[in-house]
Amino acid sequence: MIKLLQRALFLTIALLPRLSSASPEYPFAIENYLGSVHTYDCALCHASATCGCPTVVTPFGLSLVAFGAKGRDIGSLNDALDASRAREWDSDGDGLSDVSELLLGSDPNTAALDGVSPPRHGCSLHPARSSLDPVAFASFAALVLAWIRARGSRTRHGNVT
Amino acid sequence: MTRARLARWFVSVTIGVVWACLSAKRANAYPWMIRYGSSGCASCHSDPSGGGVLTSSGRASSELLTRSDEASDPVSPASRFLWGAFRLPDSVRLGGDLRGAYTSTTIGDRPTDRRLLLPRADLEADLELDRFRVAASAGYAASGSTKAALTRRSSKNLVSREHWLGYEIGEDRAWLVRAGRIAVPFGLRVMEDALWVRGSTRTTQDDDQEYGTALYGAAGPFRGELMAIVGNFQIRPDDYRERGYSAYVEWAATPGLALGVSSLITRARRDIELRVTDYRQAHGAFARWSPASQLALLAEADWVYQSLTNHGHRSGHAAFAQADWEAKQGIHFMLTLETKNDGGAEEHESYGAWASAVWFFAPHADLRLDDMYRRLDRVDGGVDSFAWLATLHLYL
Repeated sequence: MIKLLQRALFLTIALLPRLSSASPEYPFAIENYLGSVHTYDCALCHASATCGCPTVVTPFGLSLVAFGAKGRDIGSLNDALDASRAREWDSDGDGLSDVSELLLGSDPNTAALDGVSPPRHGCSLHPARSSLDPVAFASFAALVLAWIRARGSRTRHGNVT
Repeated sequence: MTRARLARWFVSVTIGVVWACLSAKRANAYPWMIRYGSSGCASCHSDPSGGGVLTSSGRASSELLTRSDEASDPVSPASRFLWGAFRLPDSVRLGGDLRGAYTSTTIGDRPTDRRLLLPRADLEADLELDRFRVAASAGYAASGSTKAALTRRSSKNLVSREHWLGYEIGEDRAWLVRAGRIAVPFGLRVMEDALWVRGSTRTTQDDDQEYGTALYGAAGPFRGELMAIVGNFQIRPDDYRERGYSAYVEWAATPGLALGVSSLITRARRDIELRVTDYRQAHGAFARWSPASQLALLAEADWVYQSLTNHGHRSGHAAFAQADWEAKQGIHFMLTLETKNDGGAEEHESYGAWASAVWFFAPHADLRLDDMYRRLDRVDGGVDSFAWLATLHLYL
């Protein structure tokens, strides 16, 4: 998450002077470029779903600007999408590249919707970060087994005598 | 595929065929045990659908039927836990699954990735108290297997793939009701977790087990299991837990032929891979057939479907077919073909072919070699993948 924020902040600062104005034809251009069955709206790159908001604000939009997309220049948009596809750029860091998400119909700007945090693993009953060392656990298990064996051997020996 | 690799495959298969013709005796196997007319798994495994700790009968069968040097005494100490280091009552079953592997993988133009892996380092136990059963596994995963992790590290975790309580039902105890973390009953329970049918349906033996309640039953030529899935409580938050059912039914049509169908439907508020609400389905058919004493054929085909709320749907499939030829007792040659298409937008078919050999060289010990070629579909076109694996497997 911190890496994602750092990336977004860097792109915002570095590219602030180049942020392009809204291009109403761009959602259709992206559909055509991808040959996608899904439709897109301006919120893919801008703050509003309806065009007119001039500022690119979303991680995906900023990545396209970083790859050279300019306002009202379809050629630059296609070049930027080429670069995004070639580098498998993943703006929201969810493991699916932006182009894959667009083709899938999911949002390349959002890794977790509705404030749901990313998945985490480990025993759900475990209240805090684990300090259990698996190697120490395995060593302990080996000691227990050795003890059981030694005890069994003594018992058998005792039975014989 | 390079000419050198093709030549290597050809030579390997030719050697196997010639060897089989010269030295064939009889056929032995794992799900391959269908060759012996043994379509069920419950007599040898603690999990009646296959896998888990070996029973004393399973240990004896393993000694008698899989070793290349044909053990004369199937109840020799070497067949017991830790090769006879412990004498355990029949009601206490202990086992261990250790696998070490060396892999070499080349995908497209990328540099070859070579590494040593420890795919499995688990201890397993199954305790029988009259009709009650308690089973659990605990192990160490240097990497991956996070959906089975008990600890919360990014790697080097303590894992538990299964832990359940059960109760045996019926005069012959052929039915078992269980609750806990259980392997999802779906399709063929093969050892090859890398098969696309297991990955696409999310039913690997690695870390795809789920919590829930399951009922296994066997009656005449039929056996099957139905599981109510309540989620994987080793991942959190709750949004990522899948709930639903999974089931299979298998019919032993003849002693050498078993046919089955599987079905699975789950819902997760957030799919762990796609991060959107996902109604996931998988339905398919599978078969095991031994047309000749040395040969076992396994096949499975599944339709997979994901309905992603407000994000469209994905309809795809995965299938494989495997021929297992036991050239000489304890020495197997396998050819596996597989295909998949997960149903992503503009996704094309991916194909794979494996040539494998397994040698059961000592009590509960085998060495396996796999040479895999895969043509993987990508958004930006297909890419070739070549992998070579050597796996040493010890069953304690």
